[in-house]
Amino acid sequence: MPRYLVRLIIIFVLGAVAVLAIRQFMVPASFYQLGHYRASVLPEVAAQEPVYAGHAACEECHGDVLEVKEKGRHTGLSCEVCHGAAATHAADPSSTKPFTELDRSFCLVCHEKNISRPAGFPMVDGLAHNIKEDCRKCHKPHSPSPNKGEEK
Amino acid sequence: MHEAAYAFTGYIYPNEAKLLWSVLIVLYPYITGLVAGAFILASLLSVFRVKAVHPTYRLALLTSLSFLLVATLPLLAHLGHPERSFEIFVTPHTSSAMAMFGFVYAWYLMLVLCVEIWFEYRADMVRWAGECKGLKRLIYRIITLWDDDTSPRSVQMDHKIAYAVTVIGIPSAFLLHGYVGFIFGSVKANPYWASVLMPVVFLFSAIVSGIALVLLLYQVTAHLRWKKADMACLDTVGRYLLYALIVDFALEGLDVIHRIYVAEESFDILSLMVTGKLFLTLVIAQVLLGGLVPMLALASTLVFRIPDKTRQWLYVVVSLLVLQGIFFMRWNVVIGGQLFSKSLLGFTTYKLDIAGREGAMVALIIMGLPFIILTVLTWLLPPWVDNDAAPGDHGATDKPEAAAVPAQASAK
Repeated sequence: MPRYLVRLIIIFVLGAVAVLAIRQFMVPASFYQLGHYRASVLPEVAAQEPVYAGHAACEECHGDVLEVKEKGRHTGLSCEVCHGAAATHAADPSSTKPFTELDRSFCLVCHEKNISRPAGFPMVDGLAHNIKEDCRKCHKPHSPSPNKGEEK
Repeated sequence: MHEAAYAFTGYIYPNEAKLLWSVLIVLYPYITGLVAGAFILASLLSVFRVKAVHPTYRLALLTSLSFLLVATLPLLAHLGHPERSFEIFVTPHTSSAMAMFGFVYAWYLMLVLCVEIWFEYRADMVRWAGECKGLKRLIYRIITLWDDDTSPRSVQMDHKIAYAVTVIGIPSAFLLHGYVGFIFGSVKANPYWASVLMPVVFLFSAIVSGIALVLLLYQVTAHLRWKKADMACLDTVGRYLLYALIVDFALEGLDVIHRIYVAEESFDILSLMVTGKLFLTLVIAQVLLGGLVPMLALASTLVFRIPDKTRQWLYVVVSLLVLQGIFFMRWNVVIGGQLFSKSLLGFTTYKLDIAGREGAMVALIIMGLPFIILTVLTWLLPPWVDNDAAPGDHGATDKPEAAAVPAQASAK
């Protein structure tokens, strides 16, 4: 067998050995233990602190707001849908304050006209409906039916 | 979001508003197809002994390698996190067609194409290592593994191994591109893609595009080097392009006829799409300009006596038309398959961005890369076969038979 062929075969064998060796390093120890994923990821995920406080936590201090919300059409929405994750605020109210989403594009995520939404769902054409106006001028987010007095 | 709302027609599900597989996913089967097609053209000489295509043999191999090296780039750019791509090799998931493509790709690159090119060029590289100086000499020395054996016995062995690799390479090239078709054809939830014909259609369109690309590159490179293109070679490659086009066209026609006859529940929405949103890219660009016109033009070279110069121009135009036709074939499959709603009652729209990760600029850069790689490869491994080679032009093989044809003789 010519010398170059022997060298080529050696390179391929070394390459194959290198790939297998690298694989030994790269496959996490618990990978195939429970399936095609790292088994050790389960305790890692479980150990994570929840970032959402949950509806009940808001109710403890903000009963007045919830009273309004329960009578309105946003009653099914959790507070943290619009105010963001609030676990740190619930744990220590003075440490952080939940933000309030003010941009009209946020309202349009649910209320933009879209043929695939259920019949009767309140929708507007974002490019035609009081364009550039803040939605809150006519709709109160906690009880969002239009303010008839102000609407022409 | 509200801008997208204006792009809908009829009823679509919310998750269908935005197309997730963009122009980069169009490039993936396109580039892979060019790889497989160029390799099949090369195999015409090495396995099927079509001697007339000899001038394109090495160019086809280098073209195939240049495009194969960037074949996965569109996918990596589309998905982001390219560093995670190695995971599919480290922890292979046999139930994922896409993950197993990594192995098909690696097999084809490492064990077929690179090995074939190495054995094809080895004796020449040993010779060039003696003629060249500096960096080039060092590169040749490294690639030839510091061995300057060019004895007739070793050269004969090179040819035998190259022949064996090509024989393995043909089913591998079929596998490589059939696999891409399989990935689409096996998406059973999408009536536009789910078809057992898909791998075969992809394969033949790959052969068509690869032959067209090498036909074009051969003429362009001959022109740039102030050499005359070999007309016998052009005519033969043109003839094979015609055969491949006919088979490809027939297969796609069969798919269409089958869909019309079976007329499944998805048929109405698909026919609306083909005659509406895809009219320009499918009926005009793919079928008419990319299929019928090139077929008629190529057939005319067999029927009429056309002067060499005109015929040469005709081959250039035909190659370009075929290349755009196959590009739009991929476009129609990938984009078309996402334009209609799975409710079969509505459409969305795809707008190609100019900038951005999935934009036209990135697509153009990815399409340009193989040509840069090919330029470097032709500098390092000149594929040219010129009968009137100037002395010292080590790229030229003085006798066309010298490089590859003994491969057939010895392989017999």
